[in-house]
Amino acid sequence: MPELDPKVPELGSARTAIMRGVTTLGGRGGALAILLVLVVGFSLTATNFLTTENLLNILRQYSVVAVLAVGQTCVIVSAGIDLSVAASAALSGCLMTVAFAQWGWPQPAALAFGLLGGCSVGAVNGLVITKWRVPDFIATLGALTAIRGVALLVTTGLPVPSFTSENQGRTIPGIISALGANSVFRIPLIAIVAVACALIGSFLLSRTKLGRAAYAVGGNREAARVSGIRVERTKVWIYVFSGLMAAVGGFLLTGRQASANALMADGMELQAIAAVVIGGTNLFGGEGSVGGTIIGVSIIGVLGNGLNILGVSDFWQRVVNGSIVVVVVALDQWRRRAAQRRST
Amino acid sequence: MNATTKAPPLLALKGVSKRFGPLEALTGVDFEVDAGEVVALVGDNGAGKSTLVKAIAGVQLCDEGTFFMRGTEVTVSSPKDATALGITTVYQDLALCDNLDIVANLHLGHERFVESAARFSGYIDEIEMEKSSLKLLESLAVTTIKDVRAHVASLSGGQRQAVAIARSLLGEPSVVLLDEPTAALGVVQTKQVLNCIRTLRERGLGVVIISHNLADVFEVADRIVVLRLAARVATFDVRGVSHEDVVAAITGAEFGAAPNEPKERT
Repeated sequence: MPELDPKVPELGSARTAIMRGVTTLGGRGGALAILLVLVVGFSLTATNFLTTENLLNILRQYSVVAVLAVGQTCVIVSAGIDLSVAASAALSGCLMTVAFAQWGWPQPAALAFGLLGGCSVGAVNGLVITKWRVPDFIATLGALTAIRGVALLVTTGLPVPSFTSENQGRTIPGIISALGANSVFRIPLIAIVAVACALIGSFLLSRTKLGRAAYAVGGNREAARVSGIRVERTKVWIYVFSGLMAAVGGFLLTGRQASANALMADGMELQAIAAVVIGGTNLFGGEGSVGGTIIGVSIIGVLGNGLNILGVSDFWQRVVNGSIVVVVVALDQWRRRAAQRRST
Repeated sequence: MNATTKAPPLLALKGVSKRFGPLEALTGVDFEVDAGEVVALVGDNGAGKSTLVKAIAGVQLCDEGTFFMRGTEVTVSSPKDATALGITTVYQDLALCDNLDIVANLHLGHERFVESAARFSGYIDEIEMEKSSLKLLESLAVTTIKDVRAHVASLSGGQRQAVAIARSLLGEPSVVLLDEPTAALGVVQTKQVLNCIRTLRERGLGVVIISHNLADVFEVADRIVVLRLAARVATFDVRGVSHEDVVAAITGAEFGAAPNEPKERT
């Protein structure tokens, strides 16, 4: 064990701890280093990579993943995993659009309906996991398939708004299309929403009772229980939060496409999980931060964008994306073992 | 503190029995601890020590038996009940979260919140929690912990035990149960932990320790209660008894014939 600071830190070391968390971004500058290397590398090799337009493009493309990844971070910190986020996003987008365009609901009601859909998926996931003792992975894997099915049922398999049905020329809600298309000072609104979600997620995780409970449950479930933390309730609420983030992500995606369909955001749950893991969150729970996740999303975004500009085929990009997740986790495991060796 | 010497015991159990199927884990055991007293609960493996402590902590309910706090009958049917009565437990595995720092562990499940913030948001007051952590460790005379923001994973066994004991004091309990507090600790660390336990006694708490280590028991306890084969077989005042007597009681060399007859204490 390294000697603890010889000077007794008085008050305000809470602030130091917060600063420590911010500067090391959850204990790893490694991800940040990778991001910098990628940015510098692509700036030198890919023409037009380092242009405002292209960077804004990355923001637009990866904001939805970022929002899903924020919820995913909370879930993984509490030693769970949510494979259903992309499906929930699609369902929420579809519910909101169908309610507005097909059923003629007012805009706020349609939005609330969509959010409720996402939260309900989270609540069901959480209850199935805690009450029926189904492993997180299995419960949300089942949800992934089932929820795509529900979304297909709701939309009858067609993109919505569907102009074949009896709608009154309504499209997606105005606020959603504005979110998808508009910018403030050239910053896409979609990215601003993503940043807001990240801030909310970060606050939830680091500064609230629920967040603290999530870390405790993820780190030592039994210790959390005997400390009076309601483990099951914590898990359910964390899944509800993930569902809420999924719904917001679904709204943003619907806004970007000016349309929703049951199969949208395909595979995005894996992108979100990859971003969380690359960002240094421990897949076994107890460690991680939203800040790290945002770096993780940035790495995925910059990598995808840069490789596109360089003309690397999508086939190769898949290989690269998959490999990077494995390599990053392997490096992280190695770092942990090294740290353990040092401390004993 | 507020308990006088004439008052009924701080915590008393009468006729506690517990069966696991055909196995009798406890048979009509009485137990009591006074304020400002350290009672050691000793016995061989399977004698029923852990079962008794779990019953007191509300973790595992006994089949029969009545509980009294300061002479008043109470029921303990969950860990929450026990906590509400002022009974707190430090488990052998300490139940600490390695991934959190000392402040977070001390306040786990009992976080303090910024009062000005909206209540529902549960905005954790780190500064206030840090203050109370420093105060708590200071009150236990823990001098080896320098940084309350250190992660628990980086602490030594003795420091971890100190953190676990400190945490148990957060709710201002009157009875503290410690399960093997000195197991797997070195000499110096054991001393630190025993000092912690003495501090608890000085603060007027009723302390119950389970231990296999008779040397530690003799160093810190006032009274020794011996369980054997699910029954209380002997009670000793630590000042008038030898190691051999206690070992004999534990192994049954002396009292084996009549395990249900508690020997009167001196």
